Amino acid sequence: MASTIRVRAQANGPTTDVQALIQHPMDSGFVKDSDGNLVPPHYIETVTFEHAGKIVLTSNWGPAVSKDPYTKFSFKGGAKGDVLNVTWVDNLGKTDTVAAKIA
Amino acid sequence: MKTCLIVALLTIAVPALAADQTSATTALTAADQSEALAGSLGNRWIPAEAALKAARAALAKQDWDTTLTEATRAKALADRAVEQAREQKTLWRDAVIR
Amino acid sequence: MSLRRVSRRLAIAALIFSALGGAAPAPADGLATAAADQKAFQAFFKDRFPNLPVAEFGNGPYAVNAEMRKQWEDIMQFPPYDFALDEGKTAFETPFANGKSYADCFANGGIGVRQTYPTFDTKTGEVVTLDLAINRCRIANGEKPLPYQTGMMASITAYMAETSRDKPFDIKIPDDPRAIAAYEAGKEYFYTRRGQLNFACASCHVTSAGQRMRGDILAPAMGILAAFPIYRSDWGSMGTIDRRFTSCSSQMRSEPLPPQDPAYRNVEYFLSFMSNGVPITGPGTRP
Repeated sequence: MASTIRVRAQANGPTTDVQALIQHPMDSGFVKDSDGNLVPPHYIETVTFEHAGKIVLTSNWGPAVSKDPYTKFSFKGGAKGDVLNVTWVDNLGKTDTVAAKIA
Repeated sequence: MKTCLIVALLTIAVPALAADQTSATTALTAADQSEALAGSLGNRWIPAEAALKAARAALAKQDWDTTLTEATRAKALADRAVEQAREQKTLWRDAVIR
Repeated sequence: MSLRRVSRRLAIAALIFSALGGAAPAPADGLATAAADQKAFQAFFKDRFPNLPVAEFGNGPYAVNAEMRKQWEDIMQFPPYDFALDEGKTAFETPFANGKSYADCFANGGIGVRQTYPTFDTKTGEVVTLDLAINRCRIANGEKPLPYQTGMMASITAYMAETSRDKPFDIKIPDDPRAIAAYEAGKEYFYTRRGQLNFACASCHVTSAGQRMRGDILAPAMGILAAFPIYRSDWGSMGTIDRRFTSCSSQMRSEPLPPQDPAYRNVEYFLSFMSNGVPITGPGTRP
């Protein structure tokens, strides 16, 4: 099955620029469906970006973040060919991870 | 003039009307007919449909006053829609980019 | 019979004709009128937005507002329609239960053809949009039709649009009175005020093109369909042309027509023909 995480990591001198798009419904639990029933909460709680054994970014999300969230950030370090691991865990305990190569 | 008409269209206020079953059903029939005509001209307005729905719901509960009020509102809106469709049949050409 | 009597009878006949729902007869030289309409339409928008290359007209609000364009360029680093595009490609390439596939229903296997839709089908005498063609393909091959507004229909049309990216709109009106009548009906729909708010499509997309309506920038009508289907942030999902037409109708407080209603297909035909030469920018993303 295709990964829910798409990553583009670019080495840029002393830093690495990262963009990630994660496919996830991010249901807040406050929205009703067309029959009037509440759609149960289903949202990512944490996302971790890890490089060379160190966590370079932890995102603490929740019901306020919208569907298919997009992240963009830079961190010091990283070189072309290195691996960047991206992992998310949601409130239902589901998870996905991807190992992206820094370009 | 056009602005006045538009303002009037948006603020159709219907005074509270006392009713009995006959006046209520008569008003609803008239409103249905107007809306059907608007529909045949391809111009059903959402608020007209909503008022008709409210009138029918009130009729089912035998609330004659509300039926009459909502049906009167629905008919007023539907009649404006019919007027708009008829005017636009010729007026639209004025808007065409030449 | 006196001239007055004749013209009065003609007037009554015309009244009866139009009361019976007959459209005004197509103009004497329909194709020439359509060509002149298109020329005037494009001249109007090129005049309104003098520094805009034709290719930019498919980018709607982003072509005419610098601040929005910056945000758009940021978003486009990771297009939100990406997931739908992948899903659409897979679906397009998957054969039906009977072994045939979408490629069998379209010229060039359905690749790089989006810019020719809508077409006029002289066999059935109606406008055929890409979405309608997709469902007809499905039905002809024993599959259930797809709902029109979002979901898989948007994903498949996203893929087909992507294969046509940058190809200019190339809509044809055959020399057939029914095609000309459909074009004219679409033109009439576009310029007719409707709904409680008394707006025509033209009110926003011609008269106020490039200006604000609350927080939105109104896209010019020229090229407005080039980016479809779109991922609209407002919807948080993909939407087809039908989705936009029905929601626009509602926003004018006019009861929306069913998706693929002839009136909607005709106005899509008109708008697409008016945009000939504007390259496909779909699938797209919008606020």
